[in-house]
Amino acid sequence: MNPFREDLATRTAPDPCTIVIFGATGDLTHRKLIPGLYNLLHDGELPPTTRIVAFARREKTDEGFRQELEESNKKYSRQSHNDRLWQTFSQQIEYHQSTFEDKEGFSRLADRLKAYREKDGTVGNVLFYLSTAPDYFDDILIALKESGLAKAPKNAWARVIVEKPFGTDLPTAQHLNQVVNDTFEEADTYRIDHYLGKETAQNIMVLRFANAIFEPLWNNQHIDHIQITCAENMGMTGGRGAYYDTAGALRDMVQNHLLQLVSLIAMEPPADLSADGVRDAKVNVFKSLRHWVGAEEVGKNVVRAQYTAGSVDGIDAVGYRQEDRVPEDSKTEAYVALRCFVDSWRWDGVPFYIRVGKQLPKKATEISIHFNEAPSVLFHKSANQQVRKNVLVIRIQPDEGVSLRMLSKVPGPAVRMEPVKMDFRYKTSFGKASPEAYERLILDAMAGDATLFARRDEVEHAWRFIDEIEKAWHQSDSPPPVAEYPAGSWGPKEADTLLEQDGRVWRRL
Amino acid sequence: MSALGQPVEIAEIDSALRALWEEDNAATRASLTNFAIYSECDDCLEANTDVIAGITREHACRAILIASRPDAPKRSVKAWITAHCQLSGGQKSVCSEQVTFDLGQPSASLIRNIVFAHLDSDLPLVLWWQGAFTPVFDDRLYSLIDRLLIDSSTWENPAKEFETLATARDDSTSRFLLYDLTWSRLLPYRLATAGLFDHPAAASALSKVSALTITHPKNSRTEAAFLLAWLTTRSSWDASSCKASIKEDEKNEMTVHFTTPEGALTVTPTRDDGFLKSTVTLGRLTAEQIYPAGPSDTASIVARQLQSGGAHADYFETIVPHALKIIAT
Ligand SMILES: NC(=O)c1ccc[n+]([C@@H]2O[C@H](COP(=O)([O-])OP(=O)(O)OC[C@H]3O[C@@H](n4cnc5c(N)ncnc54)[C@H](OP(=O)(O)O)[C@@H]3O)[C@@H](O)[C@H]2O)c1
Repeated sequence: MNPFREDLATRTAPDPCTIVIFGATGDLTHRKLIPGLYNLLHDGELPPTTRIVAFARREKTDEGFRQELEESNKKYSRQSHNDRLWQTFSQQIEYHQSTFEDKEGFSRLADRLKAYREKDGTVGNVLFYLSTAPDYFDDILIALKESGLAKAPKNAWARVIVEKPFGTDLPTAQHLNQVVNDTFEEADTYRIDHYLGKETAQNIMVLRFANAIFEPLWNNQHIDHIQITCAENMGMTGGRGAYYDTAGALRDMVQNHLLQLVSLIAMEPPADLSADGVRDAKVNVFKSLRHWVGAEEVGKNVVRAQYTAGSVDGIDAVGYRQEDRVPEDSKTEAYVALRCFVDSWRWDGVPFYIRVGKQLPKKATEISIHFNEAPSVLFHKSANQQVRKNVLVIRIQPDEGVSLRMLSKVPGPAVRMEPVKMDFRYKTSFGKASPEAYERLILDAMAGDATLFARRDEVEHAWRFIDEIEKAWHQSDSPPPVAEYPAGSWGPKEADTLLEQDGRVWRRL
Repeated sequence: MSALGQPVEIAEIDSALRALWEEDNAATRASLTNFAIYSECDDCLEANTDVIAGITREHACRAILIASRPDAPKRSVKAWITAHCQLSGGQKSVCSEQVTFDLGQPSASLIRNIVFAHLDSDLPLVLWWQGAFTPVFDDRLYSLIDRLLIDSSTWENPAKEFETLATARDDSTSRFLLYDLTWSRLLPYRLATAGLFDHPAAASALSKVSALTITHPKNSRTEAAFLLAWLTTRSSWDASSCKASIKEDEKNEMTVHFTTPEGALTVTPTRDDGFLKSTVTLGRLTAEQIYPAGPSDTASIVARQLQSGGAHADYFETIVPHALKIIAT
């Protein structure tokens, strides 16, 4: 251990390593990974001798590729682009041309890594980042195994970061997990869900477990229901329809990001803050999710929908089926609303309502905790029924923060009550911009901290829940219908009915 | 109206502040702390106002600025209020308020009362005591402080001031965390120096260091002494195997230089562009790394310190006594 590090450490120190990005000419690398690594260097967080190998198919020179990255770094970096720093940083990036199917390309990669070890005198830690379509994961992982690259040299580690989607259903996820775990130990596998890297998601645990006032109320005795909304005011621009139509909102957003938020809200206090302590607590939530089985149950609890033509942000918008690269007869949902139950002692009878969709009026991801009403004996006539409940809102993005709605007396001779809002906003209280989720997550993987990554069992349990719904939609004789909503509205009427049946309404955002 | 804002009567401060906020509907008032600065310097008010404006960019607070002039020809009390507003998200302005006091021949009790009377309730109190301690710094004051900022490199007699601090810290009524801005300023150097030994090939070089020299600009002898004290206390060198020293540099730069039988490890500032360069040259191996040199303006250093929080580990018990010895030689 470096003695000078001991009292400087504010977090587990990342180890020096080489990061091999598969699919490095892709969008994710340009927009997130390289700017993320650059920002880590900018903040002095990147350990010395960190090198980056960019693995992709097209013919490119190191210099040419670095220039491309420089352009995108100027555009996407959180902190200003500094030529001198970029110069140092980019010299550590080398382009490795090969296809994923080419064995010889992987053996050249092994030679390259060996040469780095000798030149830098490093032990040879390697972080493989699979930033490609999932169709290639098998090829890459098998090639890593066969070429011996997945086995770290003595005293070193070899880890893999896997990008979403982790499969398209339980069997494909299990297959993927099998292939990953045939090549890497589970402890060396980091399934990235960038929602978990967001400050606001990390703050959920702090809010719940570091404040004494919330946890005693955090159960079915005091909470009426919970809503999670993830709204986007975008359609299928930039050709994203091609991928999106094969996935749909349920698989693209609910299976991973939104169920992860449910698990953070619903989990019991973990035994400790270790990666497995936290993930054990989360996985218990996934295990307790009540499954909706069959077309009838799914029809009652889940609403799927597509947008029709409308208007968003003052601009005319086409319907989902008229979008670029979306088939005219597509049945893929661009919106889904569902009622879930976590069948545990704490949450018995408390519904979690989730809605997520494209072409909604605004972009916002928020969780709201709706508390029970106060006994109505004293003030029952004084407030409008809908606003009588206290609501705690956790805004995940944008405008990150937490607010609490409560009732207050309106000044005057009569007892009239109105809701008021106490609001904490990250931007006004902490001027400093939060690091990007990817920065935090890459650093965690380099430090061997998997707390903010999804474990195999979390992913598989989530798929079990999702698969039953997909099955009812696509494999039953009388599948629940695909509802419609005009682009720019807050979703289909059927979603409103879902809550009305329970005597509730969606929160107005 | 001066940079200090609008003059007010002491008794009117609270109502004037309320009026200030009611005037401007677009502004959001935000506060994470009470941030007070106490100084006995005659012409520091405007400079300190600039510092507070800088701090509020990243750290919303209620700022209380006190300039005390014990040698003023007569007793006087003047006060001003102002707001520092920053645009957030391009539209709404987020504002921190500042109350400024200029006190001629003040009594210790007046100063304490002024701090106590203008705190934003329930929020922690950060007090930056500029310069040497005076009798105002007594238990009734320091028992209220959550974090105390000092800047030991500005002290003429560090040993005496640290003794005052030790007494305050030992007092059972005190609970403040202590931050020395001199130490905060060294953080980039400490990170870059630690980074030298992160290099796998350099780890074993640590036990073979035969000389360690820190050069420093003319006015940074205290900083250099702290850095040397930190390096020597954290490593296990003894004086006979490793010659460790600080010396003034004619180029006015702070550099760290380790000598070993196989080569050298150095940290030097880069020219003009705000980075530190660490270089490891051991046998055939040469490796360089760039680190941010961190901000050089006081406001950013204070803001960074407030943001990172935590106690300065080991600083008071271990580093300070060692540094004082180095300064005394
Ligand atoms: N983009 C995002 O914002 C985002 C966000 C979250 C998750 N993700 C996930 O991240 C992953 C990557 O996304 P992306 O948008 O960066 O993908 P992309 O833009 O489609 O890039 C694909 C990359 O794979 C390479 N490639 C494809 N076939 C290859 C082969 N046979 N051999 C070698 N290289 C091959 C391409 O290299 P050439 O260019 O040389 O052909 C390119 O570098 C996906 O799993 C995606 O779901 C993306």
